[in-house]
Amino acid sequence: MSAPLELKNVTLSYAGQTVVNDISFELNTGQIACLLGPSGSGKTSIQRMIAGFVRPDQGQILIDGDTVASDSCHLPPEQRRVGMVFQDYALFPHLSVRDNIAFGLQGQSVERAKERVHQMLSLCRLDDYPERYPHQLSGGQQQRVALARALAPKPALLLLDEPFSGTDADLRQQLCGEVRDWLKLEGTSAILVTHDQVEAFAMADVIGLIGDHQLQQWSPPNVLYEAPATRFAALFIGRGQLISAKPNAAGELSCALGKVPTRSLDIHSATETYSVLIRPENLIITDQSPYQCTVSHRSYQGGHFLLRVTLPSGEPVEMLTRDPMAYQVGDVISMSLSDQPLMVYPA
Amino acid sequence: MLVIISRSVSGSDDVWSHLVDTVLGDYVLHSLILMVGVSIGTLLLGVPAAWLVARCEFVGRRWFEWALMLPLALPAYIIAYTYTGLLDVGGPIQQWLRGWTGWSYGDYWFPEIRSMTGAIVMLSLVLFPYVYLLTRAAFQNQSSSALEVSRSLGCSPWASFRRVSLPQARPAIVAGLSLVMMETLADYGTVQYFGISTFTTGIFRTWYGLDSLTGAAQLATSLLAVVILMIVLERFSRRKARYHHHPQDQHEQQRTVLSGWQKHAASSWCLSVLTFGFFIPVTMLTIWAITTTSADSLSDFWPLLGNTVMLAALAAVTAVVIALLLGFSQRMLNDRTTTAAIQLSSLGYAIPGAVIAVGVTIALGALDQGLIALMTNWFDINPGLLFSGTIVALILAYTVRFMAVALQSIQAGLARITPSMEEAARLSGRGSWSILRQIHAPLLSGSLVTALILVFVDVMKELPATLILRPYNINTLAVRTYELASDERLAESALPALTIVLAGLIPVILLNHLLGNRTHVRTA
Repeated sequence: MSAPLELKNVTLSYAGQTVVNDISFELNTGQIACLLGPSGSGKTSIQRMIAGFVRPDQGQILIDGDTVASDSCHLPPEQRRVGMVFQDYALFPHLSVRDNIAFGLQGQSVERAKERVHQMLSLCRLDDYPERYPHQLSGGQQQRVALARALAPKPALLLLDEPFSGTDADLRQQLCGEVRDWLKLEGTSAILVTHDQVEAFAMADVIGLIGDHQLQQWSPPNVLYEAPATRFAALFIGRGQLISAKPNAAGELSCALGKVPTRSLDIHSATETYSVLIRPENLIITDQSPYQCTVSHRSYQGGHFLLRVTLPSGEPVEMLTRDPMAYQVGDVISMSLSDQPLMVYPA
Repeated sequence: MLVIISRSVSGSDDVWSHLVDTVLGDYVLHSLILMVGVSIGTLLLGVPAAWLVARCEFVGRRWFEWALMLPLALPAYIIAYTYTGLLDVGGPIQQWLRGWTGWSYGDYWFPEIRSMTGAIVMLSLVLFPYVYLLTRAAFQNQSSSALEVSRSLGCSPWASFRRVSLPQARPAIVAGLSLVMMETLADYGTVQYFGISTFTTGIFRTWYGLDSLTGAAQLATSLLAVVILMIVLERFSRRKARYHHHPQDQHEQQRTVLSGWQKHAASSWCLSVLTFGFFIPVTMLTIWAITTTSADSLSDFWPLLGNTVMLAALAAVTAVVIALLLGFSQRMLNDRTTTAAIQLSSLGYAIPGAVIAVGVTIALGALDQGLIALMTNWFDINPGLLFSGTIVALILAYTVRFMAVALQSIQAGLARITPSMEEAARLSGRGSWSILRQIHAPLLSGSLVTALILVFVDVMKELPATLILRPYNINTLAVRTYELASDERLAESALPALTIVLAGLIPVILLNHLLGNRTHVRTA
């Protein structure tokens, strides 16, 4: 069975400006992938090329093993068997919930279409309102209709463009869970575009991190967090700071908090500087440490305090503490690195 | 428009120097006085009413909110005829005054309605809704927190209004005023009837009196220059108005609840504005229409109505079809040429009917001459004037003048169909034609009807262009009203005038419905 989606060296530019630079990835059947990145990084353009609204300058896109876009061909959107949930939902205001969902089911027998609409209505818990019009629904309900409309024709691939951006935080949490459950239930392969990493972590089996118009990393959420492949990934995902480190005479890497524990050390030159990713959980407060650091900022985050601490080198790092007798701004504390291996990048 | 300018530049007869020597000064001066006067008048009527309705609570506010738009239904020339009939020496008011006091004509002073002041009052009474509408929207959109800040910083309510609300509303007020000035410049019926020489009457006089199309075109160009200045002013202040608008703070504002005498003063102010601007003239027209209508005048009326409806319907359909083409091409091509074409075609609404009539005459005249030359050369046939003096000329002028109206509704309708809706439909496997039928057609139908009605009614009201361009065998309600009034048969002009006013009410109601919907959406 061929992959529901494959991109090979896809490149796109607008007016001489590169928007998508040589991107390749492959989605597995039933997998939910998430294109994550800051706004303007090109992730939406990737999605629009997959849907067929934009033609790539170079490269190849395959859906279910069939080439839909390449140098020599460009299949129009309506023939790609791709469903899409738009950021503004794009529900048809003149059609009822039922007719919106049924819109993509033309060409099927009336009975089958009816049954599918019914199935979709109950999936998105709108059985009671099939005759309502979009403006009579709440934001969350509209969102569910948009999803049901896109899923009804059983697309080979579902695209979701920032589908939760219009909803408030509580509802977003709930919708993320629901949408993931429905996609898994339907067995639909999907690509979600978002700039919100919480959303991406909650929804995705695999995350494609897009930065500077390139694919920075394509890996499961936990790998992305624990082993970010590039400096960009290290800084974009989760909390953490990069501090500088240098190899010492013994060939070990050392920073303002002493020897840096690493997984695989590939230090090429003894004079080169490196950057080490320090996440809050990599730091421990201990009296045994010779490294005196000053608390410069403190905020309560509910359950724990977030401390910003200045290292002896003057570099700031962040750490979390649950200590009820919390440290005050100006306090001097002794800190060291835990022995978990850290990520190292060339400076 | 281009035609007029080129004609006036190339034209080289001495009518222009004659005009400059004699009457141009008068035209400029009178048009200026009129513009300034009407601006002040509409300000005085429009801004207080807008403030009261937007920010205060008093008896009848909800009703006044839309009722204050009613005067828009009255073309200025009709209100001028009505008040003249009412206040003239032979009118009911002065008759009653003489009967009551025993004076005879000449014993007492009575304001002369057919004067510059009269014209200013008449135009202000029907044009103030422009200022009212835009200013009210501005006041409503202002965040009440800005006012609260000002109060907490020690300003009285009046000082807060003057220092916070009014400056914020200024772009909207200026935008409203520039619309008012454009309408004032375009007016022909009122100033002609009151015997004031302005640019528009000058164009007529030069053309018909001096028989100089070039002179008329040159006057039209001067007028056009002023109008373009107004457009620039309006665009500029609109842009500012948009800049000042903060859509994020849309929480319901607190209205000041007026008490005691204030409450009554507010109600009676709005009521009297409305009475003078709408109820008195409409009542008068109704009375006249009833008393003068006979089988005879009715047999006269039906063909007039038929002609008017036919012309208006033709123009409406033409304008809407072209607007649709423009709207769709803008949406699909979105290039500079289309945008420029759209902006150019929207200008027509700001250009006085008389100017457009001059332009259309020159353009079609040239086309006809060209055709005649072509036909005589090639086929040795002289087809005569094919377009000049026909309905085609009239429809062309209407279409040019009212294209903006149609275009606006169509564009608003198209804007509601987001690109993602089209994309969603395509992903559902629909081709272009099927999307047009299933998405665009049902969603645009409302805007199409609105556009048709708006153009239709505007054409019914349009006087100067019709007057100049109509073929000899065709008469319309507006022209008939004008003719009867010119013959001092004011009462008889009431029936056609009232018909125009009633038709004019339709867009006012539509507009109100539209605005109502919008506020509804915002509160929902």
